Amino acid sequence: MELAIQTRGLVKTFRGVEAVRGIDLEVQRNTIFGFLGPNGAGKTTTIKLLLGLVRPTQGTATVFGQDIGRDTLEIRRRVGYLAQDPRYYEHMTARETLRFTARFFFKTGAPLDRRIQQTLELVGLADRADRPIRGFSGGERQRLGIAQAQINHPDLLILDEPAASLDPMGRRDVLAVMANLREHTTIFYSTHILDDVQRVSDTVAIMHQGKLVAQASIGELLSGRKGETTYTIAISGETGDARSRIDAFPWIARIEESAENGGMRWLVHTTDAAAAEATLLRSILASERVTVTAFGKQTHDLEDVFLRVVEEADNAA
Amino acid sequence: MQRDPALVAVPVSGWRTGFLNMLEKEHGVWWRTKRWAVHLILWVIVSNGFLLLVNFGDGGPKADFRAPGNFSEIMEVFFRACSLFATVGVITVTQSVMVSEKQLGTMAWLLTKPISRPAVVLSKLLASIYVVLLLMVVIPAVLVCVQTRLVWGEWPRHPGFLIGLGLISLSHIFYVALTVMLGTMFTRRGPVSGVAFGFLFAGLILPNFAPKWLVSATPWPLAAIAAAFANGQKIPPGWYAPAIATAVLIVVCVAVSLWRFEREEF
Repeated sequence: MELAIQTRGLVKTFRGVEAVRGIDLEVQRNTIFGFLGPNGAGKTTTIKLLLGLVRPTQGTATVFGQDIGRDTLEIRRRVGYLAQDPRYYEHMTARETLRFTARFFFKTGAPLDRRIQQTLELVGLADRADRPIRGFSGGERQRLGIAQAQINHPDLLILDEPAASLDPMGRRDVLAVMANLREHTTIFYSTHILDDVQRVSDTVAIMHQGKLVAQASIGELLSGRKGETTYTIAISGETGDARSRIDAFPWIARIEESAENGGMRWLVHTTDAAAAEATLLRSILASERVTVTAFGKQTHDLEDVFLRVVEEADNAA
Repeated sequence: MQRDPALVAVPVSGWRTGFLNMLEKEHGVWWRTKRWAVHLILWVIVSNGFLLLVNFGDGGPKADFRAPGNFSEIMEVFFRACSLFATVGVITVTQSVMVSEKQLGTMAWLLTKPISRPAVVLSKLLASIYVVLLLMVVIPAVLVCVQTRLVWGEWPRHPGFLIGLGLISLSHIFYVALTVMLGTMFTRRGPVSGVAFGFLFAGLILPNFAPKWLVSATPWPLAAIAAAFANGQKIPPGWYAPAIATAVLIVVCVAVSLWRFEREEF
């Protein structure tokens, strides 16, 4: 599958300070890619590198196979971008702003006017389309931002903190627009609202201090450490035989035990998901004097994963 | 939402990509707002109002306001004093052309669209030039012609008057190019206007001390040469040197603007 974005050893240094430190990023087409990281992690700089607003100090990057330095105009034809704090020409109306934006991509005429009207309706600005932007609220500006970012039917939509300044209703609307666009568009968005990422993203990357410290599908990331599947088992009775039996399996990484409601709670970390799924529960129940009241794969909250990954990166540094 | 097949894509065309759209937007900044009217009134009052004062000054119409000597005085004042006022206007108008977009963040937004960086610089330059020439040269010059026709019953001498206007236009274009160039180098208006005004006012003092060849390599003598042409006076030898030097300086300023803006990061 052709990648929407690929970076190799991408570095950006500002006056001796490395904002981006050799990142290797891969974004598949037609996915929603959540780009996470604490403030100052290098997310916005990476986005600016992809858009040609800043030049890489080292490394390479391509968007749809085109080089970000040499082919920046062709790339920008296929990309829509919403900045963290979008700014427009205040004397223009929403319609004029969209017309100005759209004319970088399409010739004027009735189809363009139709496209502008459709876009205004999509983001709920049709009734305010002919008012100057200077009177718009933060939410209206953000909606206009989404409208201008996707007026050209982009193959790649880059959103920098799209829901940061919105109320819950606004956030819901933005996520709905993103979900609607995923069929035709790759969406690459940075955010620190982890709840949103968990709801809509297919793949997630976490940046910390300019480095990419994790990149995986949302399912993989939420299931625990990379390559590990963890099962939670509520067990009671004489558990010694069952424990010895499963300890002997080569795909058992480790087992954590804790007391719970008069019984035990096991966290069984496995390295072979298929083998564990086929064998683990059966092996435990082979002991007749054991009762299993709960069994299932452990899932993590993205916030836990995020904090763990960032802490691990801090410790490694 | 499916793409409408009737939408016709604008092709990517090197440095011209996005140029016409940007030029129209720059045009709109002037002509779709009240800005043009404000500046028109301002420069007509400053230039032509000042000439009326010269013509009919001293608290009431001069007894000899139709005297031929006053005609020369009007031309002299128009080309020297009014061109100085207008140059102040040129710098004031163009100091924010690049800088304000950087400060507001619209430049960064703009450059995420398919527009080449030369197209940004050249569209701003071109729009500023024709606004400046129309509001600060052409319209005041037409009003001067009306004034001379009404007072003395004759039009200004031509082609001297037109050559003079051409030289003043060249000087104004230089200050537009200089200010735009400074706008690509700085992110605040202070240094932009400071350097441009510094250069302008240096032209009032330095010619008294600097070597003649150095002064001839600047636009500073253009106003005096323009006035001489308009009044049919003896044209100083080598009058074309400042004109050629100014044209070269304009090209240099544009080239530096393009080079600098291409390297700017947002």
